[in-house]
Amino acid sequence: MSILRDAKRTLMPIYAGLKHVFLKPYTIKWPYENIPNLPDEGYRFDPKAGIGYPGSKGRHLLYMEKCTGCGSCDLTCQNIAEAITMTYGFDVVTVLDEKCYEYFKEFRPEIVEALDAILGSFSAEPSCIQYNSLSSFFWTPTDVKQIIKVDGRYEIKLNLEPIFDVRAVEVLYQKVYPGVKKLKVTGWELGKLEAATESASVELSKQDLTVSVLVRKIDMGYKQNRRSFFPSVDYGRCVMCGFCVDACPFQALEMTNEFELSALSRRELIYTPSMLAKRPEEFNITGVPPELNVIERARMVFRRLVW
Amino acid sequence: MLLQEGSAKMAKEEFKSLEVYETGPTLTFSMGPQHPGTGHFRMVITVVGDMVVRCDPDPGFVHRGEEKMCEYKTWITNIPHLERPAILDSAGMTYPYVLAVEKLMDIEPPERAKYLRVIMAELQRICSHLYWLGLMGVFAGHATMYMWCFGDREYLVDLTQLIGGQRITHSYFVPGGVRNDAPPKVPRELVKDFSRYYRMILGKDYPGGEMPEDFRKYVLAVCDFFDARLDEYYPMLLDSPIFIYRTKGIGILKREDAISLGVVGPVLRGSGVKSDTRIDEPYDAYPYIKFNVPTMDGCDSYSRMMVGYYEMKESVKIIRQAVEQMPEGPVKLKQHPVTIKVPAGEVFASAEAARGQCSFYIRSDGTDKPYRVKICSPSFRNLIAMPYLIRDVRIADIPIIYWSLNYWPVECDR
Repeated sequence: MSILRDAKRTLMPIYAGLKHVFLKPYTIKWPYENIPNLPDEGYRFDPKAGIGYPGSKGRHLLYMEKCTGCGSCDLTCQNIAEAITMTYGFDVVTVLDEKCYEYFKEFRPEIVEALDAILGSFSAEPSCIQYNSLSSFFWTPTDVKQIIKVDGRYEIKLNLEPIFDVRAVEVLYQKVYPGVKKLKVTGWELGKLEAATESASVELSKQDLTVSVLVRKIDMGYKQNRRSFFPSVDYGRCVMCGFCVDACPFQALEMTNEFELSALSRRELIYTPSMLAKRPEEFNITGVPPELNVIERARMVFRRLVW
Repeated sequence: MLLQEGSAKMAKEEFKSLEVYETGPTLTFSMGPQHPGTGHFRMVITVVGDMVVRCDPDPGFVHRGEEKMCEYKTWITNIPHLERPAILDSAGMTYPYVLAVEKLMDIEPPERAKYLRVIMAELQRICSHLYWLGLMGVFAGHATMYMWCFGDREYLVDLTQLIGGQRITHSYFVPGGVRNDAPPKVPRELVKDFSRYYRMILGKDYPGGEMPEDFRKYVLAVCDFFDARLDEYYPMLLDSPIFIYRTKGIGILKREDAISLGVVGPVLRGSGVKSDTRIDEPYDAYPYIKFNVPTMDGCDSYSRMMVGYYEMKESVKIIRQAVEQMPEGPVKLKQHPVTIKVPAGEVFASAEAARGQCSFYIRSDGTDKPYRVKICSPSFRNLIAMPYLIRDVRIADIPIIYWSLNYWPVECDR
């Protein structure tokens, strides 16, 4: 009898498995197919009722018009993942004196090479990656925005998005210095350096020409946040627990259902306030997935039609 | 050389009776460090031929200093890192911590929160047990079971994602309740996708009625679906002769030994001892729910697996009752979401995690951080049975015995 029982036991798995050959597979071909199980809502928190709303805990969404820069989210995250850092917005201005401006109008090579180096330094690769440094890849100046005359000197504003960082010196060191150092070869000398939290500057001189590069804080024009002090999130560290959302007393921080946060370098994982303020549908850095071949596409169509 | 005289002699005598060639002296070697299923682990093994004479487990490769870390983080911000030792069973790991802090603060969560906690804990238990069963298929050379378990697990993980927002580590429990209520609606696409599988497995339509996106109905439908799938698991793996010959009579842990070694969870229940924290010291909503504690008298690897299998059936029963009994109302006490005040004192609390009883001893000195947190995790309690079981067995049986203990190195090392 044990032979019969064993034979039955051996055949039963085949029978149980055979049924599934004719059923639709569980697998979802992401990213070519949508994931159906994702709630549309993101996780939110109501500070008055003291309770959260259910939803996906994905990338954050920052409401800049609500954020007061209190830093509660930063304080909470210090105890969890140290992913959130409060940052100011900065602007880089090149200041020319009267003589330099004359040279600039005539496109003399001395002054053009200096401006070229300062512009070029923004798109240069960083020499090394530092932890918690927030200089991101995202700023590439395309053009000079405007030239203003202030106190007999000319300020050249670059066509830049605001650079978010903890201190002005960091911007100067990480963004301006790599290009400016190359100018030493052609006879430019680095002069006086002024470093502070809210502004920093460095002077460049060659014979009787003087150009100074100024990093200064900008006012983004939010009434409730005069300092323009906003959180940046490093997604290389974030664990998506959502306690920063709980901690925000002004409902300025939410979470969205966006989970496709992979990047090719660690620097791209640092999301600045202006990136966090964009909704997931208007912001896509992952790009389109690679094309499927003909057989795969035919199989997908077959799956959709048959089951 | 690591050698136990008596057992070596025994093994040699057995070899002579089997008419296997004489191997001579014993050989000691290191198995690992490798990643057998759940975390990095190594054991030093002494063999005669392919008969294991002695086994020295060497844990500690994934030690993270969780207990020390607790002293530097505040009461609430401890929760995300405390669920990391057992990410598949994050609810079971944070449950005793939350219970202990609540006991210290002398508060009680609202009724609805208790039921939501039970639902979440049982869903996580099923997910963890499915991982156990699926990887047992891999260890025993049965790849279909692995695929089935992980395929069915998706719908349970989706359910936890609807409630907790994440797939595995939800940070859902906090002292004073849960962080958010159950969702009022289930996404329409998910219901559409799920109802197709429901029809495939059960042969009838998804019982949505007029409100197919109702959360309660969806949970009950997932329970029905999973119960039907569990019935298919039995002939596929647990009743198949390949699996039975690999596991029956392998790694026998007698009832008296299990009690004296102090093992917990399915390992203890697999040795015929009816012990479960949910019944012995009921907490939250468990006193209001009727369920059995499955035990097996086989004392071997097969009975441990069967206990895990029957526990999943019981968990489905618990979720069904909890969803039906769940009252309306608030889910959290009104308190600051991140900063809570905990009075000075010491407390001990335990809960039944997926792998057994998980206990926390917490001492507070009245500041915003714990003074000391001692974690007694179930894998640590079950580790002691490993050198006892892996003795006088063949090398080929080591993976089966190892994985029948459902040992998680990360949870053990903390």
